[in-house]
Amino acid sequence: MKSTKQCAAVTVALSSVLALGLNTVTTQEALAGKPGFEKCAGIVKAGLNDCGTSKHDCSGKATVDNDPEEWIYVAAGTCEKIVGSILKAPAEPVEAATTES
Amino acid sequence: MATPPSELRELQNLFYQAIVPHAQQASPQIAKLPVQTSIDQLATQIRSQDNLGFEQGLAAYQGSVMGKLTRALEEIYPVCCRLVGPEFFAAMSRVYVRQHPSRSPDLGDYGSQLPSFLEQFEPAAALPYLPDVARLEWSWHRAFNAMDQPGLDFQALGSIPQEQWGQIRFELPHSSVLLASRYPIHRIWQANQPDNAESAQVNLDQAGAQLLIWRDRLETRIDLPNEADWQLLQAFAAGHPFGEICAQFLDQEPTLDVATRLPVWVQRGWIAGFLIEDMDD
Repeated sequence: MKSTKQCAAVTVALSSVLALGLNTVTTQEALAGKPGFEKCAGIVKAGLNDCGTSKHDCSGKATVDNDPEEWIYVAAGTCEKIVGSILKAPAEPVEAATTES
Repeated sequence: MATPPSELRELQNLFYQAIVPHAQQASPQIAKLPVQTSIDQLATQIRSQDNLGFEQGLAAYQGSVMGKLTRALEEIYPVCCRLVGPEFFAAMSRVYVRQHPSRSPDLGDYGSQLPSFLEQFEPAAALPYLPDVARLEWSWHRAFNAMDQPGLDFQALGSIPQEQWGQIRFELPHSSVLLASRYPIHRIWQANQPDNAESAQVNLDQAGAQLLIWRDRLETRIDLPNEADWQLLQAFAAGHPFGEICAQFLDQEPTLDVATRLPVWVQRGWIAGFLIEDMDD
């Protein structure tokens, strides 16, 4: 099952990785430079927000009222900025909006 | 942890039943008995204040639970929220919260089922890409909050005898998620970041997305692997031994040079660890 080509690939791969380790094991900082690292500019954002979702509070969010029964079925966000043929054939017509009255 | 006395536990259960958002609360006229029963039983246990009656006090807690959970969803899924608008998102969140009560003491665990919920959510059916955008946001959230992981241990790797190299199973970072979509969800995501120019328009006819979402130390990232790397990432994620992976890609057309990819991946941080089976048998 094991071809010599396969063994050769494994050997080359592991030797190269271990060679990396030899260069960087003394200075961990060397990895920070990351040669050959393709950075996807603009794709990365700094973080979800200052503190992830660890800072939740309910001030101003607690509603004593009943939840609204009738609500907006039409998405009114930035979806209009997304164009393309797929949108011309939506999966199913939204009939809930008409039956709800 | 000490178990509370049974009367206290009973009281806590009553309180929980009374304040947890229930599916039937959506239409009070068909409210089922158990919720009302627990509220009635709880009422006898609560001393009302002059300025705040039992019903009002209970409603404040009910609203607080709903408010906290919908706010958590808003923070985890800001792009979805922008896509559909805050009113739609808030109303959708309330439906979700009623169907999916919080099951974890960690609020960061809440909201995992929103992507599959959106697939079934009829009012959002006209936006077929929305569930996948939600998947991207959930993966980002989990990568952001994932445990720190030390880098690849070269010393341990170096101590493995060469004849066992083929049995090594390399591991992607614990935080990593491989996410494929037929829609360009990374462009949709990017166009809806707060710091992005408003004029951005995304064409759904563009190619879909194959994304690696993970955290590199303090930086949460969305990487766009090329097709060859994507195939190889999946083989690593499946946990195959390295020798098998090499063999698999040697037979494949066009061939992929795994041997040169591995060191590149190590430098990128895509390889975070490895396992080796005991050869004792």
